[in-house]
Amino acid sequence: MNTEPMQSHPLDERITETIVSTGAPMRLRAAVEAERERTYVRRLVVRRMKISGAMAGVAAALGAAFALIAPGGGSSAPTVGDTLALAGHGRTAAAVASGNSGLLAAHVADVSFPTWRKQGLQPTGQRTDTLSGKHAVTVFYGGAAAPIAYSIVDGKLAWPSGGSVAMRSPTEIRSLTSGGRNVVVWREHGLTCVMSAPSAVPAARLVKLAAGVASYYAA
Amino acid sequence: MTARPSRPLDPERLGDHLDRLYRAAWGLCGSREEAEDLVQDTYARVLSKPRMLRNDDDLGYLLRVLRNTFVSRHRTAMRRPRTEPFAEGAEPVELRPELRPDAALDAQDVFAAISALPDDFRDALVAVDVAGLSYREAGKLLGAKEATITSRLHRARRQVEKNLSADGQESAREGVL
Repeated sequence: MNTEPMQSHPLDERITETIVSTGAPMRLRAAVEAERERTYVRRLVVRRMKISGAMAGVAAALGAAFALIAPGGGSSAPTVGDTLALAGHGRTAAAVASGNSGLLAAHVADVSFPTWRKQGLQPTGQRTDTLSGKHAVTVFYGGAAAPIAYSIVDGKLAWPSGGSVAMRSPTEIRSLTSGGRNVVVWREHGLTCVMSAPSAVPAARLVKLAAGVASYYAA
Repeated sequence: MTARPSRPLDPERLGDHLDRLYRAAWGLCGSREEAEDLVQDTYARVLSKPRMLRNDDDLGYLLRVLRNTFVSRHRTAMRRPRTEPFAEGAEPVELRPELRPDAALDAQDVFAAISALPDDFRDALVAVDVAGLSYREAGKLLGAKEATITSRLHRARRQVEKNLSADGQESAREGVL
């Protein structure tokens, strides 16, 4: 049996000094910096492409949601074509609410949009629309699971046909696909929430985000 | 809204850890040239897509990727036919302008001695003495208890000192026990 004392004596001072005085050569430093620059440019291009896609995607999601408005919408109900046209509109930066760093200033009625910073997302912009008299606000999020578009529509839309119930408590969250995008729909305080993202973002990720919102407002 | 906290790894701050990563790579590989390649591969891998961290330990994360890359490269190399280096006419090693020739020689000996350690001992010493992690962080990185890290470190330090001493030079590539 080994009876050596297990407390670790420090490494010889001369060896330690040699180790800590060794720095990365300039050539390596330059190579790493160049790689970082290449990555930055590459991501910038991809992000711009994704944002364009997200704008069209949320318009499609909104279109799908509005197509499900309960009877009563009549002929004034917006069409997918109407909502796709919204993709050309500008958007403004999403400001954080002053009293709660976890929420954005953007809201519909009593429901505010989250920052989702802890979830690794970053609000990249927002837009406001009125579709058939219904106020709708959309916030776009970037980050690791980006791009995600989250819309809150003032009013109850009928549940979509198809899809499945992904969660029942604290509120019912439905998951479906539309136009090649994953979409989740749920109701909050009499409003309809629609979140969508490209199929590369798992539906489970959207459900988890939606569940977080639902839990927050159920508390 | 109570999901596990996470944050994106900031590429702007990766350069802060370059020296320590390079030293760790050298300690793993035993060769400056291989260490440079390993560090470049590590950064390329980390930068290839956005990374989410669950804590503030950027260095720990980078070291984990470095080690995984090293292990992966080592396995790949083992599957390839081995070739002997040229005895003559080989390209000279570039001397770093920031290092004195005598210091560079010392560093080469030190890192060669570290890389010659058995894997577990080498990893412990690289994590703590070369990269500067705490015992706890090293344990987390290597999937070992703190006491195990302490024990490995103790033996690794003794062996490196022995190998670097005048009468231990020739046993630098032999086992620890």
